Amino acid sequence: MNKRLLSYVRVLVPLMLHVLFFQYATFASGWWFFGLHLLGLLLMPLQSPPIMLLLIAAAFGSVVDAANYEGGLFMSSCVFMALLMPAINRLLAPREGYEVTDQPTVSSMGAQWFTIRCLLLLSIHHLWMFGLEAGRYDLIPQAIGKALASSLLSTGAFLVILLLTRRNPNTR
Amino acid sequence: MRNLWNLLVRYHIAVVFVILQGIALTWFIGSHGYPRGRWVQLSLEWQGEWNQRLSQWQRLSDLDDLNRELLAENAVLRADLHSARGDAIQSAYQGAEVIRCTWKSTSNQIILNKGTKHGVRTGQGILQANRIVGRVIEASENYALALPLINSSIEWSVRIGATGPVARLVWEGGDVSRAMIYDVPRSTLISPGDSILSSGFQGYFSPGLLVGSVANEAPLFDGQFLNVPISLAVDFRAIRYVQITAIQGQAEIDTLSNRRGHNAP
Repeated sequence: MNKRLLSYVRVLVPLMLHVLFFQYATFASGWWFFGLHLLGLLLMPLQSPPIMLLLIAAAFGSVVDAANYEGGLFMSSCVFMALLMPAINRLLAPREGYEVTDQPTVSSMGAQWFTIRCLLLLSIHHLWMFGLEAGRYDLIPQAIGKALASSLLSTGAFLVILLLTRRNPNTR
Repeated sequence: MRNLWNLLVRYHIAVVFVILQGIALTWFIGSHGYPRGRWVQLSLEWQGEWNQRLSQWQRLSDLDDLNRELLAENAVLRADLHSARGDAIQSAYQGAEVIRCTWKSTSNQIILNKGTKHGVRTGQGILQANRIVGRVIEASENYALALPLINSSIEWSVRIGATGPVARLVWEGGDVSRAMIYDVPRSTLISPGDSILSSGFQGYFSPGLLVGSVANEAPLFDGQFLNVPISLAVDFRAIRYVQITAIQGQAEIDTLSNRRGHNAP
């Protein structure tokens, strides 16, 4: 199996873990939603075409929706995040641009780059998701609070997961 | 035509995004808070099986089996009690285990390990120790999906005390131990701790089952009516064993009700 294919397979593992074990992973009375499937989307190769990102995000979201009976909530949020992913990648690109071997991981791009990208993309996803889920204007402030709290805590958790599972910390 | 095609090619990412969002939001609006249909049944079946397997792995003692036996025995005893009392509405009961319950969303759900194979049907009520929990909205062969009181998309018919007026109960999100009852006439005498019981009008439960009690908070005035905060009787965070109740003669009542509806001027 070549490296490119492997990187796409790696994307599927967090989704499977989320659906099988972590679908109820909501802590602190709903203030921390831990969407492990989002780590899979965040690990999509940096050179992925935007269309592929959208389609894979839609597929991820719909799988989680089907497992959680949330009917389109996760699909909508994942697609929205995937739309802005290329823009965020461009925003955070090094001066000389990304290299072909660069991967959106801590070991490849560094903890600071990963943390900022993760925080931005998770905030986009969570603001959309909690906003939709709130369904009423008076619940929007609480939804924003939940989105920001979840983004911060999930970024920390993803960082720890990647640090614990990295194979070669001296790649870059 | 060619220009249109060029436009679509140029903005293909935006087009795909709009299409995917359209699908997602249609799905969301169509099912949020009230998921029904074939996809729910399939997911329910698969999820139920997986959850049950996980739960088996986690089981540490034989107390579960004992609990189930007691649950079934309780169901039979409760049905006998209703029968012996000669209640106007007779119900049959069967025990079930909650294999999943959410309480952090505004559209919470419960999944039970009993389905159509065990006689569970859409519209049956769910009780925990004679307290109202929710009602079944979808059932697959082995599992049932139910909406609890703590789901903001549905309303429940309740009565204040045994002989008081009937009002609407709505859970508005947030605290799972609190809800609000609407349309209570201003003339009603209410004190903190007064029981809130099922009215039986919706056909899911017998009348007189405990829903909660009036909270120790001032009611809110709304024109000629009061909105009264209540404390729910069931602790949804600790729920595990429940009873599914089936009102006997419900089909006949529905037929009668439908016939009257069709003939109405």
